[in-house]
Amino acid sequence: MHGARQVDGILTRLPELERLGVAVILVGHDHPDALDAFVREMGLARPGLTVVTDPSRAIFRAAGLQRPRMLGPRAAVETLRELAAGYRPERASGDRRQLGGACLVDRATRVVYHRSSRSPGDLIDPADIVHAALALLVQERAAGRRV
Amino acid sequence: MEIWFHLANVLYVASYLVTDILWLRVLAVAGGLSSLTWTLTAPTPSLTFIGWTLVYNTINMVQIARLWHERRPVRLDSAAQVLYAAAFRTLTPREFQRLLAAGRWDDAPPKTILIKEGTSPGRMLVLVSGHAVVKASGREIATLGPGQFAGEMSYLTGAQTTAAVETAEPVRLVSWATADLERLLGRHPELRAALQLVLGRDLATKLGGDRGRA
Repeated sequence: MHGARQVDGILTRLPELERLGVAVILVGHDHPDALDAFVREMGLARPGLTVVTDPSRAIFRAAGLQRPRMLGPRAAVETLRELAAGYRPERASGDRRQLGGACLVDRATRVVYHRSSRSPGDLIDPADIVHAALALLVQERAAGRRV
Repeated sequence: MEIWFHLANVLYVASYLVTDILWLRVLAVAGGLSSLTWTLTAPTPSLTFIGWTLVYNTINMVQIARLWHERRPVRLDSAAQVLYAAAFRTLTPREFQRLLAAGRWDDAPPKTILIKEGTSPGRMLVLVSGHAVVKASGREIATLGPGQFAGEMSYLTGAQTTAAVETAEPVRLVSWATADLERLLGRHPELRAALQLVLGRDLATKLGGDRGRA
């Protein structure tokens, strides 16, 4: 359910990110069949959005995203908060302990923004990604006139 | 007087039925007052009951005042209205008012340096009226008019300015210290998202439509 809420947050800012020239790629770690169901349920088959899955979680390791040994009481509180926000538990086939995160990579494949969740409900604020994208736009396009 | 007891419970039931939090609290306060009347007219009023009812009602009345204050219609003065129309239409009037409250209105005569080159201005500003010129190494490279921002690129990147902004005529402006702005936006995520949209549009105008993939 945390994944659904995170994706909903990204979707609200998707047009803006698109206008800023950001290609959004959502990476999951579920089985491909589960991913198909998630894409259908969330309406993710849309322009400007790529959804992939990596059950081996190699991408997650490469991105330095955390996978704690166990999920503490904080995770339970976060689950209750998600339920209160109207999200229902998902039957995830992936690794429940794998936490999420976000990266923004520039055209030269440099990571200009990186954030790793500290618990399942520690979601990435899409406004942080938009802020990083705006800063990147300024750095790439505003040479000589940055005020 | 049993009628007060029944009235209190009818009001409590009504409060549970409404979905608007303001009305829920108003009905709960009315129910509380009715309960108080009931216990005060009883032969042996319970001080414990009175005390707790007063606690509940005080909390509810404070929250009612807060909610009512937030819901009041927003009235902008003419200068603020002009600025709202020029740059902030994607914000709600309430969000705009909140943003303005954190800023400072200033008037600057011609030839005033609003932002120096090669510095961290620590402020972001928007022109309300008048024009300013953007100068890099003394050379004029752009003009800013009402509704356009200055200092926002440094605010976004955290980097030093690579150009200066100087007023070309008498200018009215609103400016925000970036630390104050960050504090405000941290408290109001919806305002942060709305302001990002405003800044994104302003940047798109300044930097042109030729934008590649980030």
